[in-house]
Amino acid sequence: MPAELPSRDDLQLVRRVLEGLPGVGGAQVLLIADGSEAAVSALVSDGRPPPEPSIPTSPPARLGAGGAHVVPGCLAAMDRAAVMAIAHTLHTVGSFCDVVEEGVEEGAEKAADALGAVPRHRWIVRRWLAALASENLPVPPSRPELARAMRDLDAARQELGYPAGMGRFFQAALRSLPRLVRDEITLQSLLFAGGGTSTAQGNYRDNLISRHLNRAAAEAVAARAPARVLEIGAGVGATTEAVLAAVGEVDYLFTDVSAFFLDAARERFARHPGLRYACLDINAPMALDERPFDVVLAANVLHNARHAGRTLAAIRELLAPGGALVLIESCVEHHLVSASMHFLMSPRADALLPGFADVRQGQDRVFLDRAEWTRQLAAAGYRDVRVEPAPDDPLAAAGQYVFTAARGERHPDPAPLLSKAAEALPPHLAPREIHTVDALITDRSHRP
Amino acid sequence: MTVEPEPQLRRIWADILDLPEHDISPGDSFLSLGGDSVLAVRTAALVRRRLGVVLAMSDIPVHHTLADLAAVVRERGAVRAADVPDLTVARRDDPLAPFPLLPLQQGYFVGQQDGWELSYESAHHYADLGLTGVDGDEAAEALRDALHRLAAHQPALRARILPDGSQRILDLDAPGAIPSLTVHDWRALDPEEAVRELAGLRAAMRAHGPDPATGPGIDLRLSLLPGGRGRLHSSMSLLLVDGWSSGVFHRDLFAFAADWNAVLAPLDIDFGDYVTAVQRLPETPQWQADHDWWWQRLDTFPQPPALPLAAEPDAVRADVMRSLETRLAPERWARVQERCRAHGVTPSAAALAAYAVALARTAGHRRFLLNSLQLNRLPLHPDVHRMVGAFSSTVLLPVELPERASFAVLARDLQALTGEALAHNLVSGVEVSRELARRWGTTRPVAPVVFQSTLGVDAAMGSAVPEEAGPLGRIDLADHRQELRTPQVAMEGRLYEARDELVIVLSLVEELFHAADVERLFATFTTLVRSLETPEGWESTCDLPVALDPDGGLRLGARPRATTGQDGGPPRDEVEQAVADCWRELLGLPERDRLDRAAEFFALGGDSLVAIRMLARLARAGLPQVTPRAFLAAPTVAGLAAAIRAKR
Repeated sequence: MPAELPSRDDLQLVRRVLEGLPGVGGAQVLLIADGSEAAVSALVSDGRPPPEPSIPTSPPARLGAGGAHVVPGCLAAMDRAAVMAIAHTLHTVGSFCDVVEEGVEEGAEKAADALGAVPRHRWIVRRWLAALASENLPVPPSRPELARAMRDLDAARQELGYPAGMGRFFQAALRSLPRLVRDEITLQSLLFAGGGTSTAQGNYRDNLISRHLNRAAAEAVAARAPARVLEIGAGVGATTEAVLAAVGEVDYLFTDVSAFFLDAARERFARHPGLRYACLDINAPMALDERPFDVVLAANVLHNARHAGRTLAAIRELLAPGGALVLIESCVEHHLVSASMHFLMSPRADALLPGFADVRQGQDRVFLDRAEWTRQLAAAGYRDVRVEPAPDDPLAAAGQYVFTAARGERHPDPAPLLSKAAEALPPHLAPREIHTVDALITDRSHRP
Repeated sequence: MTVEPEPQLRRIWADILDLPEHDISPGDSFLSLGGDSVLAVRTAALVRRRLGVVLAMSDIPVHHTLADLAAVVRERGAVRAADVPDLTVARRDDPLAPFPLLPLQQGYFVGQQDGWELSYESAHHYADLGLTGVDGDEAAEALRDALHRLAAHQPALRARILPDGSQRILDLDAPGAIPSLTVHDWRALDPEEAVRELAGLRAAMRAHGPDPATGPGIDLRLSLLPGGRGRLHSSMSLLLVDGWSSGVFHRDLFAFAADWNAVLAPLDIDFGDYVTAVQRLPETPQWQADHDWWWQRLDTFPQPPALPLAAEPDAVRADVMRSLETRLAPERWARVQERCRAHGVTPSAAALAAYAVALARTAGHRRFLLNSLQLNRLPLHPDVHRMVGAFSSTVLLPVELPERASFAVLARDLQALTGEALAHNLVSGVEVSRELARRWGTTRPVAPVVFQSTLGVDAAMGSAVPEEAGPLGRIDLADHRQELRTPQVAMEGRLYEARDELVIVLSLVEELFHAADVERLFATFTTLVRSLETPEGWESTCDLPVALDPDGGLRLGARPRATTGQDGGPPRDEVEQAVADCWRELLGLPERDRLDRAAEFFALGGDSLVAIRMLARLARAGLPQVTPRAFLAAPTVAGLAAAIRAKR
């Protein structure tokens, strides 16, 4: 029988206990999943001011060679098609004018009702109305405008090098918005049609943007000459391939939360010596029975972390001295993503701990922006954070970045804190884990 | 049948409709239980598999009840069919790789090469549909968008025929992969001008079809006319799109055009996957049984109907097909259908009998070979009936009409004959025709008189096409014209339904026949069909010629022409040697066999497709190009060498 979740008051109690321990300046307490139960996790800082961010010695290399100049225009066309599809979808249930007449919040409620949207996807409807409000679309699109937008989307898709299967996926998703929002079909069924991963490969590997980013990530990993690499959320193995090609002999632990991807990878990388596989959930205690790693790679996965700071701290503890985290993340919420991939992010109806517990809580968004990731990395105890591409690079229009951050060195062992906290708290509230960090990022909606 | 079929049929319906057996009563129609035309076709496949009975398309209309189906199965049950072979259709590793042509596709391919008797430029199917209430500004975009989605959904629409007689599917992103829509905006014209333009467009599209060797296999056009009217014109190459596919195409196109949000369930396999699977048919015992069945009978097969001719087929350029058409009004057609049911005969079988009688009277004899087009989609995968492709095949019908018998007896006999032939359809009529031609020692078409009925198909498809399609307005399926042009056909009798009317068409190569003979034939054919409304039409004796076989004169036939003899012996010069070497390689003849200069290409095992490849190969080797026409005049090593030398 699942126990009741600890309340806000419970978490406040834990925080006060922790802040009373010697060496602890501030604490942040949150819940994580541990199997089918919830467990308490805590971040503690020693109260000293955070270290100065170091200035990179050379500006980041320009990634935007090799055709990247087309990226801004193509992405604009793809987003425009998404806005048209969203507008059309709202129009078919008579809700096109809701955003103008009612404002985003109220309008979204009405629109979600009119669409028959299930509760877990309503945040997406709110994003749609915000998107419409931000784009200048005075009337719903006509059939010819819609058709033209779809053709432009496909032309842009081709120009960016996404394979035809990706084009069909986007078309199917945009046309299926009413069904998706009612949970009559799942996005997975469109993305993994027929049980294959080829469409997903198209999204994460076979296109201009991903190729540039995967290559940059691979170079960042190779530059550290690692002996042991841990990849988190490796999924279809798109970045894995690029990295394996760039590093020499290496012990590579390929992990994901889903056995489906592990199986596919075992087959795909069967001929690679040195590849090992394991299940790893970034929202659960990340204890692996492993020696520390020289590089941890996380491509397009960390936005799934319930609490970014906590996951970053936990990753830091897996790194060897001198180790680094290489991270690829989306930092811009494109309209096309709001009309497709975001359906993957809606909390499952039976989720124990739905939604985010960090700054994203209650904000109807999934991604942290570039500045936020930089800040989170510094606070979680990393230094020498480098980001590519530069903001003026045409590739930056895609809003995806490669962050490289080295493990910081000034963190005391949290073990003594764990035992002291366990003495002072009832068993169900004793923290399952404590991470020492450089700073705590809090905001109004989060503070327990 | 000794066993009452109803319990097994109920089980079949339960499986197909996903219902518990006790929810199905004998009086419920298939449609009311949730069935549709595609499921009806699957029912027929299961009936064949589990009861061994072959049903025609028109045996399984969706409004039939379980009791109706049991009655039909009891009637057809005389012939036991071999089960469908156990072949699986799987996705090919490389969906863009070339794959072979199916036999009828090969027939069309060859028929489009100049030189074969009754060949001409393109084999295509033309149809146009009336639209009312068209949104002129939106319709074109909606159609283009629909066509784009359809080309993604149906890979066969992106297929091309390659010069060596194989085919492949283009990647969706390849240039030219997505067929384009041509729009003719005649809204601003005077009504008479618009009518003239429309007639001109129809004539042009009827005469010239799309060429899948150089571009898409379909040509789709929208004409916008004054008064919110329009027409959707489609011309489809029979090399890539068969009759059933045309229905699938229109149904899917309208689904996409009507609803911007429509997403059709993706197809798991494509036409290339199906063709690749059926290449393994000859390994199966069922195919071998069908092969033996045909091969044992071929020596008894008659010639085609010896219709009197106005010109030598060889001298005629079959550019112009003349069509005569008549329609039966809905009430009369309904009565004919009722009478057919009462006599236990499908309307197609009855029409075939009427056609056969008309042919017999015109040709002056009672025994002849007919050709019939069949759907021939083997039920190897649930998606087979949802796919566009060129699955159709032919079946040879060796007809022998009794001298004095009632029409009812005639019709039942022909129905049994057709049923028997169809029960052995794993070997296509094209392959059987090739063997027959080999035995007759001829290169002429062995069965140039064709019968085609799409009655069940049209009903099945008609129920699936919506009444309206968004900006395209209302679709009037009754306002629909069809033209079929197939090479190596001298005369074709065709039946189809346009909503509730029966349309009877006779198409023929005009220059071949005397107009008076044609008109008489057509009159006999249609009068007979109309007479089937009355009991007398069925019971009265059909007067037929006494003669079983024809006598002489300029008549349609397949007997080989006299060719100039060649002396035998080894090849005499380097040209003859080059020809002999090429034939040895292409035909896979053993090295040690000496190839005689009088050896005949088709007797050695070559067929028309290999002949085209062989001529192309010799031309690529630097020898002067010889046309199929010149080759066929003397298809021996010496003969071909002489033709090559003559070109130097």
